Amino acid sequence: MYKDKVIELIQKVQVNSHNLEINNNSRFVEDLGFSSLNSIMLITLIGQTFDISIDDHLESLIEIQTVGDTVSYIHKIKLVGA
Amino acid sequence: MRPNIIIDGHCHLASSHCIPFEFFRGVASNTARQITHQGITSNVDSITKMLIAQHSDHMADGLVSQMDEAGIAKSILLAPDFTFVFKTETSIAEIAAQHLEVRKRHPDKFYIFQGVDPRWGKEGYDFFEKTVGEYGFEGLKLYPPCGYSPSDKALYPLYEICRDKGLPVLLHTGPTTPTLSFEFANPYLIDTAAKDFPDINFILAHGGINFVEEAKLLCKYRPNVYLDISPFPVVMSSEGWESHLESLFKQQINHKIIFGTDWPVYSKKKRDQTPNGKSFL
Repeated sequence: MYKDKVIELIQKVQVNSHNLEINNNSRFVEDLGFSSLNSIMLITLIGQTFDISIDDHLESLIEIQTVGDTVSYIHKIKLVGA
Repeated sequence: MRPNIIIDGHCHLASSHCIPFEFFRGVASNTARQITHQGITSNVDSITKMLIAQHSDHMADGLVSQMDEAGIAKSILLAPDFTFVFKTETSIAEIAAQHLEVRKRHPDKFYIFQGVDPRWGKEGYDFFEKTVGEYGFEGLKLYPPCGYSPSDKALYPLYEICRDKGLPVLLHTGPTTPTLSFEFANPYLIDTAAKDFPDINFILAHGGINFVEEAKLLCKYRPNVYLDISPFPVVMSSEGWESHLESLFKQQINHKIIFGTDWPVYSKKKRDQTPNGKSFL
């Protein structure tokens, strides 16, 4: 369920990604054309949408490079209730 | 004709050690305003933290990886001197030393242009002489929005070093972080110095996207003035960057146009530069 929402957020911050197939292997920079600003916007939205503290998870979120890893990270956080 | 090797003429070390907090904070204030208007609630503090976190490639391993993937053989690393106007934890000497270490770690990958604020006086002169002598750096980087004209006579001793050693001078043009003044951002301000030092090649950083008309005219009529096109994907053009560059390349100044990405402001990777699928490289 997180994956569909993450894709929706990606399409919000990078409008050009609407024309692209987005799957777990999609890389933000190489495949989806993310700039550093897009990354900041997506992390902000992930924090707000999934009620995740950006301050607590910033270092990890900055390092994530694919859609699948993002979804997995959100799953992990929600499971442990962080 | 495709060149034998591709050189990125404008990039930076993506290291928070080299960029002052106030610089990041200014960029963050603009970003916060922009994304708030896109319906995303954020604040300057949070964005500043994210920007700093994105600048953790202190030894350029990530940069070299991107260069390899994009087919860029070498890059010019620019080390601007913000330390005169902003409080910094890292001195300009330490920043130069960091760049030197990066070059040792990645042999044959980087040229380095060292920044010096002319208001450091003799101290700055001696420092610059050391970087181009002992360290072997290859040029001078100026950041006039820090509060000086690139034709200020206080710079002439530095220009004399460049002239004597045959080194280029690259100067920032155009608006920048809002925590600096844009008063000295106009490329025409280089003209007096360019006329006084005809043997130095002056490069208008971002001249292909900021104050483009002025930059084009300087390149056309002043033999020793060049421009770079970094970061072309974000040019303010309703037709997009491809159309903008196509027009620029028709101005008969192609021998004056230098390719540059402005990494980490914009990625070297092909897709990142080409949201519509086209590729520059």
